[in-house]
Amino acid sequence: MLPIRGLNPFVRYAVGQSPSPSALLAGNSDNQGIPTGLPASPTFGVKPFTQPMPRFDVLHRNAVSTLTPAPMAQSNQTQQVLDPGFGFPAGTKGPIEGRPPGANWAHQRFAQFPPQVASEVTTKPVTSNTTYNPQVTPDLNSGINPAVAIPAKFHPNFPTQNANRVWTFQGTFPPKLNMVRYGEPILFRHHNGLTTDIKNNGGFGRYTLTTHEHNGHHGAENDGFTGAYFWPNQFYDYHWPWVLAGFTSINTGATDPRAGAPSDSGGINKVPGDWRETMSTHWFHDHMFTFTDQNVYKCNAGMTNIYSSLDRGDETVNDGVNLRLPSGSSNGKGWGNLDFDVNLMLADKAWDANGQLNMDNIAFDGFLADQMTVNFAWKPFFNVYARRYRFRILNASVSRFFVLALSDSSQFVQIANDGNLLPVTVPLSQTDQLGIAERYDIVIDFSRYHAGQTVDMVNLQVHQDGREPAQIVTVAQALAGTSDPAVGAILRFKVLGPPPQPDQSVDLTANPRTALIPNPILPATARQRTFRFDDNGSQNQNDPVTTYLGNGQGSFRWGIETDNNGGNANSLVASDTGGTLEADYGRISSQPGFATAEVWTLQGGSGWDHPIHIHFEEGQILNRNGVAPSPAESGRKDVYRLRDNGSVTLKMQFRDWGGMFMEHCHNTMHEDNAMLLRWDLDSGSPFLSPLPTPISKPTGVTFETPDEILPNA
Amino acid sequence: MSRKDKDDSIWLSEHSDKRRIRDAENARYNRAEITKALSHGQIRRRDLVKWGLFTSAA
Repeated sequence: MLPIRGLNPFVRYAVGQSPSPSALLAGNSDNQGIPTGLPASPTFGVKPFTQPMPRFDVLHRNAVSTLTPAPMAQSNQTQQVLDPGFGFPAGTKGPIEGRPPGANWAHQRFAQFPPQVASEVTTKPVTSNTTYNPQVTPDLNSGINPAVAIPAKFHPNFPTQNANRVWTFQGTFPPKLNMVRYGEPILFRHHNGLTTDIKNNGGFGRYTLTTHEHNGHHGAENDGFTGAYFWPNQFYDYHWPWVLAGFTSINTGATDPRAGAPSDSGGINKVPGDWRETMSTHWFHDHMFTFTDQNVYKCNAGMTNIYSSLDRGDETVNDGVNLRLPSGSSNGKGWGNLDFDVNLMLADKAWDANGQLNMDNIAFDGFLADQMTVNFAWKPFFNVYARRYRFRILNASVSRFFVLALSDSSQFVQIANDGNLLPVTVPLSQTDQLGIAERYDIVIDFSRYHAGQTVDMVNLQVHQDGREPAQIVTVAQALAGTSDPAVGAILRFKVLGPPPQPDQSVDLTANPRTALIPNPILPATARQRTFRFDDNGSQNQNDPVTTYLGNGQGSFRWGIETDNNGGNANSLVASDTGGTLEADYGRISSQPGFATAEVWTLQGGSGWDHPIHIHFEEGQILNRNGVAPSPAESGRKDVYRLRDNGSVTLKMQFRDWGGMFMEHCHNTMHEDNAMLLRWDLDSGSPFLSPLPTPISKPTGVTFETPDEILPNA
Repeated sequence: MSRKDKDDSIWLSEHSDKRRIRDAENARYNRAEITKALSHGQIRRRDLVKWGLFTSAA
């Protein structure tokens, strides 16, 4: 499945061409295969590692009373006159909130979990940041003075980004960080501040938005459903209650201190739910149907740190519950210290001859860029003290996988996967493949270095194309240069010397298999299902809004075959499954039973790797191709790399909340070209079964009957 | 032809034939126009199918 050759002589030919190992290891100066479909990005004579890496920009936590209008359980359908840019007759009105109206899309348990904190954000065209709020002192932020405006540049000596090329939360660099606690519901009011001129997008990106908190245990109305998008000049109230999964059935009396959140006085506020479901590192990003790749690539993504009694964000609290992971303690609050707890958003980017962000969006196999950014900064450096640091690493690329190591091949410790602290820590000298949207939290102990030393974070994962990762090279090979310009050093750590205060975090290197959070105990399996992710999808529906292509277009794009009877992944029968189907968010592919557990097998196609994301619930891998998972992916996960022709079998529970959720490839080029399905979870009243499909327009959201429910869903 | 062109015939290099490079640049322009038209809603993906811009995997 490739665009025809004539559209791009620079991409790899379709038939029978695999580069030799020597070609992959050759220098990249004449490589024009990456970025996909684009010329190489100029670097304007600037050398790498000459700019400081900005820490994330922390979102303000406001009183809910600051929100005007006040948040409501049901969508606020107060009418406003539409901007003429939409093209409606003058005076046409639409609702101020883009959330679908009515009881089905009301915030579930809104009265039980009334919002206590408000985060108000606006996605808008990029400009300079004059309100940077890193919540660390400049010595912990590589000398960056937050009082000095941060320009909209990938490097201070690169051109300023045009406003329509980059759309970010709050319209500024660096990426935003949402800091939350269990038991402290947040109302995340997201304004769409983009222009109503659909053409004012710099050539890619769509002005409609829907924000997925990846991978929150929230009601579906707050999950960023791909069809529940909202329009410029509207807002959408996301109610994220931050509850532990199982809160309706486990530890309902909130008696276990391991199920809790840090109080403002250094103690614990106990909450109901299963402490084994504690999560730590999320991200949030756009999920607009068929435009996720473009909008996320335009930098519409942020991260969430979730604080709990186990993962306090204060390494000095020694109460037998806190795991005392590296964080520091300088804020004096007993939680949420960022001093030595650092978010890293990795993303490959490309820019044109003028330095403007650039993307090829008909690279249907996947889009690879040639320049590496960390926190939207091109190949930066980061000053560190000689002590332990935690890094929360996110792969926010479109199609690129990473394998990370240090340039001296020294060890570090993986503590979390997909934001979930592992059952036991895993010492590594290089990570497993980090698929798109996966998160690895690692701890690096810089105390082994002296002041003035440097060590680089190095990407070892070579790509030939966006189909799947190619080989993993050694550190020496990566540093020498390969055919893939995004391989090699991507971030330089500069060691300052001893820290101003002693490191009081747990020494994970002294005990390389430290117990963190055991996996939840899974109930009996109610059902098994099989999902096969492959090319040559077809469409049996003709809904002009909810389908990828519509009916009668033949077999062209990505698709998913669903066997709700759990058939053998390699011999699915089309009459049982409906075949390999292209996306239609009006189709319900599966309907797991509420308060049950199921085993799902995800099967990948030959010649591809698909990082599959299942929304809402964390799963545990039972086996990969019949073999038990590695220690690094033995915890809870929400993105499952299938590997070439690979199979992953996992088990999940479905509980607490209901609504329509999604499952899709997180190679967003695959996702947006039809590798996405909808599954519904019916929690009972007031939910209908099946749920009507929302159809979003500036004039308001209407509903239609689902196009189809697959056999035995 | 550069070594890479000769050995692997995968990517063009700066030393490749000028006509091929010019064709490639035109192709990139065309792709950008398609990306832009898609994002502007001027064309739909089904139009790409009609135009034969998708092919099936072998």
